[in-house]
Amino acid sequence: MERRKFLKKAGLASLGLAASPYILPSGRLFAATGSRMVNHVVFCLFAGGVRDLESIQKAEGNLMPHILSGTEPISGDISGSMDPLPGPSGPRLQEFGTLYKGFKYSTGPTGHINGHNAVITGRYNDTSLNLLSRPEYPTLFEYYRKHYQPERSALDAWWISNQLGPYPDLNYSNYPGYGPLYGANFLAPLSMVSQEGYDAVGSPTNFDPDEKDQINQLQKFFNGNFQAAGESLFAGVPNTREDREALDAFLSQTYQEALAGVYTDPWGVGASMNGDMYNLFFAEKVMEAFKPELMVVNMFDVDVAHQNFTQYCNNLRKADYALAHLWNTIQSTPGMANDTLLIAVPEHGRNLEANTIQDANGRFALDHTGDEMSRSIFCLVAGPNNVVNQNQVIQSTTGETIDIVPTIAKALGFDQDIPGGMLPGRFLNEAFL
Amino acid sequence: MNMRAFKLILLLIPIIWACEKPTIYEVDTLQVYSDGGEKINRKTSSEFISIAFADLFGSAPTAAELSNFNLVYEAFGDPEFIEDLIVRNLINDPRSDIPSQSEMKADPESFVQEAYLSLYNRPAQESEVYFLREYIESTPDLLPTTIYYGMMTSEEYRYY
Repeated sequence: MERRKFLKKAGLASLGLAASPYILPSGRLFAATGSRMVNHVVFCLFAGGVRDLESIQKAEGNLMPHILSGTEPISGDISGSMDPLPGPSGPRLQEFGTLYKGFKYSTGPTGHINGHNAVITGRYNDTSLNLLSRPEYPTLFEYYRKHYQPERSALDAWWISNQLGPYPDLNYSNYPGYGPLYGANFLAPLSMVSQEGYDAVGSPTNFDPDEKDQINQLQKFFNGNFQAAGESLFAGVPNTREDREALDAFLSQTYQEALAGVYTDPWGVGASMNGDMYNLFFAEKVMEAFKPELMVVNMFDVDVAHQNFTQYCNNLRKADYALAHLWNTIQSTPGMANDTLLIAVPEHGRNLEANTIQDANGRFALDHTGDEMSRSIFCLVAGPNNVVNQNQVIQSTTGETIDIVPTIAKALGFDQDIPGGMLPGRFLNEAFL
Repeated sequence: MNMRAFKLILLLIPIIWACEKPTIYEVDTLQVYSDGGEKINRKTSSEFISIAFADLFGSAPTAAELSNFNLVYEAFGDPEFIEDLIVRNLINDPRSDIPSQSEMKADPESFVQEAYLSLYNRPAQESEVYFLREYIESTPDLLPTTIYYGMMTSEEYRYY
């Protein structure tokens, strides 16, 4: 497959890229982890830095019409620069849950990785955070896979990011007693499902069952003659042989669909499809294939706000559309419908004062350097109506970034198994019945 | 012995000594290989990719190829899964220098020795040659790529 042909067909060129006791095989009896509120949690980092003014305060009109109620028109000077997107139909996402309008990213630098790290570990960090190192404290994934009984495989925990850099490292920590054995499968779809990714791993030899038997026999022989003595430098998150076969089939199908042009315009929105939307699209593919119990996915494209306020608003609309699409896919996925908690929260906000960069509409761009506005965010908790308080808005200052991990831990029923003192946050009880 | 004879002997000793052909100890040129047990360093992802590529193609990957390999390593959290995919892609590449099935069947022992030297960077031991020769001869549909894949995804191949 030629490079251009793959890119064209993949449609990515424009991106620029309740449990009961059980007995272990050892015969040891374990009490299963506490009762659950739901069997699946999808946590969307509505990230890139979203300011309250343009989101929940609707200063430029309702830029999030699929999530937020209201039909306020978009400001006239920027409305003509918005890419076309289908309008909402039916209830808005906030009607399926509780919207915290006074959520806080209370302390720590208002940097993207700081915010991601804080929300995924349930602990704030400071300027000493090492961008080249994994989190200092256990991640949500590790708490889940270490403490939930019976234990779950890595196919049940996913971290899906539209960024590389330091973000792949958020799937497990360096904390003693935790680490890669309890980490999440990490996937950066925009890199993996790209021409470069296809060139590297898109055309593998596939072995038939007889050949797989031969390989098993040969590997037993080869490994039986070698005793590994060295330290592993790049352990990563290990999947079992069976899980790797499932991953292999998933990736193979993904490349086949990309070649067949399925991803050219998967949501029927034409050129409006951006990186955030593709990232959530592939998160949906993972969800449909593996029905993970815990999935964290992020968006990032609103960060164009550093240079272009109008495009920030445009991408905020696309993030809104993508999150609603994710919710609808959850509700149409057997096994996850009506049994999934969806939480969405920005990692931080943006400054009240603009910087000096002006866009074509004369609007000034926005940074995020730690003022009060850059710490003010929202949080949406949506889920089944017998679990989550529906159509509730909390106006007061309630809840903060580090409350997400304890909330997910309780929703999935492993909160009681986490050692005391590890998580300073609290369960967001206001959102639940 | 008189004094004259004694002086003559003293004079001849160094002459005889100097005329004696010196003894030179020589050794044959010998290629030294690491034993499998001496491989204690796990290859980094870049090392694994570059070595696998060189082992199969006889040359280093281009900067673009290496960049693509590194990208997929970063883009997925299970490096051994990615290594498996990369190896299967390399083996599937028509440029790979893997002997044909007929070559393997014609001389299994040479095939095994070549594979060990190429991939494990050491000669195969007698027991290894014996096992694999028997396996090749008793498995009619066995392909060389299956053996290469087995070796390249073995523990020993991850170390140097």
